[in-house]
Amino acid sequence: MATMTIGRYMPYQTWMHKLDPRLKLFAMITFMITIFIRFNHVLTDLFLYGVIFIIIATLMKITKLTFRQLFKQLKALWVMLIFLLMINILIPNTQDITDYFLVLGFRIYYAALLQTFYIVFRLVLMIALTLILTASTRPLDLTYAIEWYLYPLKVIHFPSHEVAMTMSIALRFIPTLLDETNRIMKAQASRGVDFIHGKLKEKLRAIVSLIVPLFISAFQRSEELANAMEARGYDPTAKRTRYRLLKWQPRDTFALVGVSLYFLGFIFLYANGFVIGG
Amino acid sequence: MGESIMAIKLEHVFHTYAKHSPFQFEALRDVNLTIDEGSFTAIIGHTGSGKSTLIQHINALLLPTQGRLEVNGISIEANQLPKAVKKIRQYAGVVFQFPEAQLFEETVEQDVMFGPINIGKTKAEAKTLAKTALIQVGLDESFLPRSPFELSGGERRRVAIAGILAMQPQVLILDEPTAGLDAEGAETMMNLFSNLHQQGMTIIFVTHDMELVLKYATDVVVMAEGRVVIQTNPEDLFYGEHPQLHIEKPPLVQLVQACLQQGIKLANQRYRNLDELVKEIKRLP
Repeated sequence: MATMTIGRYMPYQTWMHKLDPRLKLFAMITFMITIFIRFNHVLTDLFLYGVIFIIIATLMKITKLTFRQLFKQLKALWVMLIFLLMINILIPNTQDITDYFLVLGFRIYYAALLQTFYIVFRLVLMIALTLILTASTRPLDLTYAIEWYLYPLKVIHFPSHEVAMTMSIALRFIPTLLDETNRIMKAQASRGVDFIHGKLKEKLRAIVSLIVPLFISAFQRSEELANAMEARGYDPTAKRTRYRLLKWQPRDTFALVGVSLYFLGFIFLYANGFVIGG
Repeated sequence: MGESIMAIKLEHVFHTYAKHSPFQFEALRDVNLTIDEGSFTAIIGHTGSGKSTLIQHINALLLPTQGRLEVNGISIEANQLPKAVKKIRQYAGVVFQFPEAQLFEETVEQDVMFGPINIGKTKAEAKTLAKTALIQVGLDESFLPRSPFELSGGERRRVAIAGILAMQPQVLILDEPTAGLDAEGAETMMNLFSNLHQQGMTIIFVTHDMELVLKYATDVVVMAEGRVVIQTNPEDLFYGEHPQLHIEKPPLVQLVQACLQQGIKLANQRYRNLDELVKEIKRLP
């Protein structure tokens, strides 16, 4: 979609863009782990989430991402967030269910609200992280990075190259399929389909009118691509060279040290049962 | 063209894709255009000149980011989906490039009925409309129960066009209807539109084929870099002097001009049809 820019590579030349994708992948995973570490102490948790938030916001700033783009991404998750909120409020799963207030006769526990806040906040942070990664890394570089990590599995005959190739093709075709989706949606819209309003039955029909043509074109494309690859003698087991090589730079070492310190610091605090004011 | 009725009017229309992002692209810049009812208008221009963006504005698939349009008296304001959007889409049907990709039903009949039912026709009405539309595109009733996916490419395209015609639009908008067809297929396709035009339908089509413009169009709009460069008729465009447009003249025009240069006296100096020219040349002493 021409107007859709979320989850998509942004061609800037920032420091974040220049980092090695292997490092960025590693950093993202460490950040995600730290997001899920909880200290079971309200103030400490809130404080550390604040710290993570500031770090991620700074990284977003470096990548030239705005909060507007982040919230645009969240818009699609709106329904899920509300659903989570409801579930958490109706079925609180914390031990210290003591304090509550009444809304329309329902007991709303403070602990449940806090729990929901944590979940939502974690989701926002996770989405921000993936946004940073996808906006600053070309999909192909990302698959190279994944292939690099999978390489050791060659020992147990894991087809890491084939997996990486499949992934890169899948990634390559996301924009193509999105364009196609947009095109078919418009074609059906000009046949009077309303994708937004209408009764459930009409909506279902509208979706069928989109999905069937989309599947057909996806299958056609994959067949064409497979034929084209075979016609050029593609052999997945062959040794291949690459146009773009991943080169480790001093700045990558620098960033790696930073990420490691952050991670180790977090683990250290956790292991020592760090508690603010305690 | 003083008394003719305007079907479509664009006033200072701008369209910018992906605003506030590195992919920002101004596809239309200050487009002013009126298209008359009953015309057969060709829209030409290089790839990326904004032709497809322009036609998608006519039935509110895209909304102007600035400026306004008027379609059959209903106005479309910037960034506002009009309430009467279904009416607009029924009035002006768009056939996209490679429309055969939009087929999805189990039978040709059901697929053609899809549009009419969406705009509120009953099943029985839709059935009649589907049958008429199929005949209009030159397919007979034997196609009705067949699966659209077992048809040839050309037939599928006809079915897709029938799907739009079944909604009884007064304006038919076509984005490169002849793309991917051979010369013969392109001609039958264009004759189909020409027939519809003679029955009173307004036709707007985007094309790269100058011969089709010369042969069929009554009006032609030339676009470049998101602007309308000129709106004129094909005779003027190809026989008149417009060196700034860099348009390659169709072979027929080149032939006529070569004849005239050689001093051959033709009855008409602006032929649009090869057959007429052949007849005239045969009459020459």
